[in-house]
Amino acid sequence: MSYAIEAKDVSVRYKNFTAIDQVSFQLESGKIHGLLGRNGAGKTSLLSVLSAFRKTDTGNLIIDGEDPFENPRIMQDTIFIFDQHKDLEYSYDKVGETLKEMAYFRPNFDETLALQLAEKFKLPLNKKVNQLSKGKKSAFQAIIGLASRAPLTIFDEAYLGMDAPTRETFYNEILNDQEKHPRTIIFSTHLVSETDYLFDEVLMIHNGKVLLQDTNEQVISKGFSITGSLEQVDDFTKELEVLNSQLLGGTKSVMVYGELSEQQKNAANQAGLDIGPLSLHDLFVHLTKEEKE
Amino acid sequence: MSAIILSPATMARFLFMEQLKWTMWFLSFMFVIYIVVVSFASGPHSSFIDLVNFSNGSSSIYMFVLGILTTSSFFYYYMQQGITRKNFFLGTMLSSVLLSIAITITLVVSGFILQFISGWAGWNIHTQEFDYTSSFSAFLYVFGSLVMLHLIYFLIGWMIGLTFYRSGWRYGLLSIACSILIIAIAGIFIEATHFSFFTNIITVPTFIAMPVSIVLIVLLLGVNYRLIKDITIKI
Repeated sequence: MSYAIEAKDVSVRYKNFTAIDQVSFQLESGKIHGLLGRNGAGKTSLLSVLSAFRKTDTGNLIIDGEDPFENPRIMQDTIFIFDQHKDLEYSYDKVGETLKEMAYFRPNFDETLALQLAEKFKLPLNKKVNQLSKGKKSAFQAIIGLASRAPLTIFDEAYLGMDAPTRETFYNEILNDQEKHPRTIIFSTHLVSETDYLFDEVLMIHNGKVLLQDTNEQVISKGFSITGSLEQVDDFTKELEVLNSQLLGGTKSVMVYGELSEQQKNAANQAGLDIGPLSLHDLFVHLTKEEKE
Repeated sequence: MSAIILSPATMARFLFMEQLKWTMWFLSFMFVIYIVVVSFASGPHSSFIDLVNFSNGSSSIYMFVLGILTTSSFFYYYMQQGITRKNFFLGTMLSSVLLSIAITITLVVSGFILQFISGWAGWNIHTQEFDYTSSFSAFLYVFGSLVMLHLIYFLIGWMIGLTFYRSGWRYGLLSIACSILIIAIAGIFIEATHFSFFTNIITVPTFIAMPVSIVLIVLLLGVNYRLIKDITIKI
């Protein structure tokens, strides 16, 4: 079971600051959506609204056909995993007991999976939750998020404190379980370079607005690097949206964003220009770059 | 479609069971302190107040603290488990009534038992501010008063916790000022209160005091529902 999401002109305001500014988007059910944005872009505010932790100030939000705010069905079927290291300092129950307790609240919770994951993440079941290290606390929360198999599962930088191998295990487990039990996953992250392979679709937000939304392949297919002599590169890219450029001697390398027609590609080849793909990370970094930076 | 797990009844059960555990710890400590004090303070020539009078102030403060903790601990935790604000409110309302009854029953029953064994133990125990042993109607009046008093203190604590959580420290401090006023009003109408500013001056008849106390409880519930119904969960 998985939920589709539709947001129309959704805004979130804090006194005089607009965190989310009339955003509209649709998230398909059963997919992994990468939510990308810089610090303060409005990711957590958006996720708070999706998880009914707060009300929208304007606009409509529909999850599985209904408004999620104060909706018992949607709220029960939504799990929001965020940084709770400070809160978990007051969790005095043992890891194993706490994991089992989750079955009370989440109808699809798979206790066997939770215990298997605890073994993979090397979580000591007899240790109290507040005694876990920062990385282990993140792993503990990630297990709850995965084993709950909630139709809408939200991970907001859920990997904080995990070391690289643990993060790798976490990403693999998301893919493994998603294949067997598809749900709608929203994965909010800064670490684009190591998570891009997870995403079916990408929603990039910047300064409270949607910058782009498309399938991962479509987003990547719109980014190119073009390298060649300074004059030829400048001539070729004068009509294109240049994200970044680097000059080394007489050679120039630019990153462009937009569709290149076959005719343009042929013209670039004939001019001796090298055309290469851009990674999602490069696109994210340069599309969200401020003018002053 | 799966049934709603965190219904008001389930929420009330979870909260009541957890808070009852805390309450048993609290009452055990108080019971031990009382036994120690009464052993030294009472004898053939001196008497000591009974458990119900002894514990009245501290059990109210205990309920007050529990009310404050309701938002930052229980509400925050259960919201993460997918409960709605309304179901949490209804569950908490139910559990706080049950807890007020449970804590009062425990105190009164323990008070009776201690009275019963006082002769054998050589203690001289007397009821002080309010008497609940002379007649059944006196018992009912004191029992009802104590239940309402515990509930009012819980609701005041809950209101303060909610105001601080929802609106920050300025409004939080204002809610404390309001609470002092509410406690003063409760002091007028509920004779059993430990914190009374006017009891010696004004005596309100029971047939007025009881309904007014119930209205006060309903008003506090209304304020708390208004505070919680669209509250933002801070992360």
